[in-house]
Amino acid sequence: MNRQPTWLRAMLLNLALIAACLVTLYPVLWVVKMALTPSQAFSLSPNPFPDTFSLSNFRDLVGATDLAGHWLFGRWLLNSVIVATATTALGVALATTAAYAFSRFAFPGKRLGMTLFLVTQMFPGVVMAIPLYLLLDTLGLLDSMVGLTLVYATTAVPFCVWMMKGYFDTIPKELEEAALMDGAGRWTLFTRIVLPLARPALVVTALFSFMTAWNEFILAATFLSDETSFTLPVALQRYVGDYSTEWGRFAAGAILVSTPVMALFFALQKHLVGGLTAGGVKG
Amino acid sequence: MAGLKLRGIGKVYDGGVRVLSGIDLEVADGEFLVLVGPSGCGKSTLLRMIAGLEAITEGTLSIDGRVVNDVPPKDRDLAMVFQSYALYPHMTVRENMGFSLGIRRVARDVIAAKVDEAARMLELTALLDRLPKELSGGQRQRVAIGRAIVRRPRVFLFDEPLSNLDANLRGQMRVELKTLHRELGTTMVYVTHDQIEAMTLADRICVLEGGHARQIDTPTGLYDAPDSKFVASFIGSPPMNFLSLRQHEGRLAGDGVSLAMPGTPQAPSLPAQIDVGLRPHELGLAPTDGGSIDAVVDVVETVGWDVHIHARCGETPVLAQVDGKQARGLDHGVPVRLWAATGAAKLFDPATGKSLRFVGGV
Repeated sequence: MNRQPTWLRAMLLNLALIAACLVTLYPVLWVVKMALTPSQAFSLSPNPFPDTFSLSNFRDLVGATDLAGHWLFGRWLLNSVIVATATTALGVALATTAAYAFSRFAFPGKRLGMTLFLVTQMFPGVVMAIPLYLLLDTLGLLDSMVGLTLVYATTAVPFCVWMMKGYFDTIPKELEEAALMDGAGRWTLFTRIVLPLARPALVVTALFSFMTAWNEFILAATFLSDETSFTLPVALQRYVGDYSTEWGRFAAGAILVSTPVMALFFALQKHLVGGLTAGGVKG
Repeated sequence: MAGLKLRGIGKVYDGGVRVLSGIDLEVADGEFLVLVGPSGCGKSTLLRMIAGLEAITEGTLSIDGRVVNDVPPKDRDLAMVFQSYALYPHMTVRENMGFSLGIRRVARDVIAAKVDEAARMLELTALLDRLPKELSGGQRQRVAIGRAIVRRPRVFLFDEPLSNLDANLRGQMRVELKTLHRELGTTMVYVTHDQIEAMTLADRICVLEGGHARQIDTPTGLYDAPDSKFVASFIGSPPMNFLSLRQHEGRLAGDGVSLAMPGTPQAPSLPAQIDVGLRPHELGLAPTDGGSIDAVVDVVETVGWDVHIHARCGETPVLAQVDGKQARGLDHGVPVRLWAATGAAKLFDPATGKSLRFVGGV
């Protein structure tokens, strides 16, 4: 067969990838430029590279205080971390156990349950904003990290269950039977055999839960009114005002918010690759 | 170590599908019992019911005299080797083998000693720190066996453990399993569809067909005195020849066939038409007193010291296994007369498939 020479293929492939990177990175570079430019104006120059270098926007943002002089950025960051971590812990704990049951046990309502989970994914979160507001109000959980965590975990669990169930389904049953024969009870085989093998899915699920909570804005903005209980996305929105927008500080905030998520992605990417089950079972 | 007792064991799935009925079986302490049968005969299901991985829907299963129908697998103290090996992919060979002892909270140094001992028996010592994916099929199978023997369970269960291995390795592992059984002296129940594995490994064989136990006997018992045409055709390699013959003047006759009766029938009368089975090695080219079959050679296969003569008697294929030196000059289309000794033939009732017994014969 007259295949293209490999260097030509490699070059074309790389060119395409470079082009894709440029398209993706251009807006990001723009945000970086805005963050590093002390003026708060909206830059219209097509040049994505910063011509000044100043950290004043970051300083303003990180150093923000309320009228009483309390340090706000620290509170926001802490709120975001608490909500995201708690959502991840709760979401993953509920989703893995539920998904395992859905994957392995026969019980009435199994199909209906999975379908209902799917149905919840059809509606955008905003639809739920008002009912949830009333619910949280009744429970006294407005302006509370507990309330927000519950809401986020509720939205994250259905996706996580589907995700984990799909992965559990691929783990050969014989591995579990082998563990049963080796003397393991259900819990032992779940924690010692199934969960370690489901690590790639666990990581994806955890990352998804974390990001859902970390990035979410609309519900947080609806349920949180006290400045000290804001999460980072809500706090950022303050820089987009009715009459003027502080673009520089907004961009700086955007970078600060997205950095941890990017760092997480880089740290976990090797776990995102599947293939752990290879070798245990023939075929 | 323990014996097993199965009484009227049956399995009906939730949808009403029946896969096993009325299995009565006793496995003595230290015995090597093989469950053999064609695919779909229920042999694996029976093994999984003994293991506790499938619920027993009829009958009782006792281990060491104690009924264990509702005892979960972890409390039955049996070990199982799976066809797919089912090694834990995220654990090294050492961790795989030590897993069951770890669950039982055995002290670390005891586990290490037992794993080392089992690894020595199976020549796995050099592989202890590898992951399953770094092993060949044969090595994985060894690890699976190692994982089972480390714990010294009361009974070993094997579910077609060799069927994923190539032919050479299979032969080798067969010998190793036999040796292992001799050294450990533990009761073993072994499932296979391969009658050669069954014949070579078993103290006793249980032949299953369509969810029923057709015959339970020693390998030679099954080979020499099959209860039914099914068992006769299933056990033995190459398989038994069958001819449909009729009684004629005290002999068995057909077109070009005349064979002596193997003895006096136990039953007062024989059916008019009889299925006659002859093992390929019992057919020869040298004249005997038992009678002969006239056939035409199809193919002559040289196997080694012997040759397989595939011939046709009318439309019925007949296979004879004879010494290669005698078969010179035989080729496609050559007529041949195949002789059988008196008593070599096994007779079956074509209506029931049951063996027709003879006095003086078997």
